[in-house]
Amino acid sequence: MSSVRSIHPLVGFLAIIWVMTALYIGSLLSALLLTLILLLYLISSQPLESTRRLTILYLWLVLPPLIVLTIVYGPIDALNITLRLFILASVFTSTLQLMKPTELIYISSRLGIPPLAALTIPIIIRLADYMNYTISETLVALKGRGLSGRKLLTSLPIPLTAHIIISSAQMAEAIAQKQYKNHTKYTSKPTIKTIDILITTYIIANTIIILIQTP
Amino acid sequence: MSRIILEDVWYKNIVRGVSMKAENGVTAIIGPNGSGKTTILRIIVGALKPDKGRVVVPSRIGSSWQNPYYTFTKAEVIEEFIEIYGDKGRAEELLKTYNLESLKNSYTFKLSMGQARLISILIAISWDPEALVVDEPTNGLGVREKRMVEDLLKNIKIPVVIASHDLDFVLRVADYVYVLSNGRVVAGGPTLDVFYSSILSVLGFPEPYAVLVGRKLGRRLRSIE
Ligand SMILES: Nc1ncnc2c1ncn2[C@@H]1O[C@H](COP(=O)(O)OP(=O)(O)OP(=O)(O)O)[C@@H](O)[C@H]1O
Ligand SMILES: [Mg+2]
Repeated sequence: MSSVRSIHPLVGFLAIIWVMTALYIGSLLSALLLTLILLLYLISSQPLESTRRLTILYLWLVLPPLIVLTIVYGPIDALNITLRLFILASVFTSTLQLMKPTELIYISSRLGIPPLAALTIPIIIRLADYMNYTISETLVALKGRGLSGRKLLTSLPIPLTAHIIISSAQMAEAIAQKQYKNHTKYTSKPTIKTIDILITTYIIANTIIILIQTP
Repeated sequence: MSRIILEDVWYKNIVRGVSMKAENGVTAIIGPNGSGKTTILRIIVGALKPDKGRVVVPSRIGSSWQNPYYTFTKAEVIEEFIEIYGDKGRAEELLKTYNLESLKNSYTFKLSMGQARLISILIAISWDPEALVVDEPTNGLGVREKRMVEDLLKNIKIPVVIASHDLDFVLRVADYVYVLSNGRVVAGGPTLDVFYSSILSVLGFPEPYAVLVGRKLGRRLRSIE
């Protein structure tokens, strides 16, 4: 078995659902804490270079809204909204990156979801890592057809999105085909690890606390 | 007349002291995988800043890259050209000129690799740039499409720089060739001179068919004399 760290897919989905619920009912702090645990676990499981790219991606995600919102709503509200944005983005990226594709297929096949569908989303998220590179490639290509300034920036999402969707679908297809041919090799029964127990306990404990506090 | 000049250009350890010049006509960069061809093209278009050296280029450079789909911003092929010309008639005329009417309403992102490359190159020259850069122009192209790209590159009256592994194509289309190895220019000159020198076989390139035949014929002629 590989030593790559991972979480149980069901725990991953539980974490996503719980963080969204926590945000919904206003438990910002406990949502943030769980997100940070997941992020730390992710960072410790991947090479430094990936972390560096992930950080750049988050800066892109967080800084522009922070600036715009500060101008519109003032710093306190801006921070509040951006923090929520950050939590949502992190919980999705970290859980989906921490799920093993083979384990995900195992679960999805039991839920009646075809592997192709189950794989497309995590692959899209994984591609985020290589987005920076793709963005610069696309910018160069668009400049090469004479676009510049505002036109360049507004056109950028078109080839970028097409590329991400096409390559995600292609990758998912390739992996799904492999797994159909070799069913036993490409799925694996998810194992429960310490991190899974930790996250589940955290969620249960927090849910209880919130329930008690609710009049 | 615009031109492209690189003088003692360095980039990390990928490009090491490259000097080259491209004027009207086609200049080809050839070399093994990873020798730095694409990196040089990216320096020419300004996507990479060299650590050292002088780069003189015109301000409007058209380009088409290894992934041709990045060029597309519209759903249908014809829309791309309408966008550039601002005129439906001219766009249709262009496709007609290149016998590409059948692709008129094709979805750009669903074109085959070869078709996409052809359209991407056409888009890159359609906005009237002062120079053109094309990475791997014949990758994935069929015989007919190769001929089209050949005609296209030969007939436009601006400096064209290509990077290619397709020596047969380079022999047909290029006026000038630079041979790159490990980020250094190891040979450069008029196409025929470079192809007839021993540099290609030293680097392990297969001789283009035409050169092989030419060499054999030359030997035969000499022996008859
Ligand atoms: N952004 C980058 N940062 C660091 N190294 C890079 C970068 N881009 C390319 N390289 C490296 O630089 C070297 C030259 O790459 P380049 O793409 O210029 O080669 P090439 O001659 O175009 O090769 P090919 O024939 O395969 O297209 C390779 O070893 C590649 O791994
Ligand atoms: Mg290349």
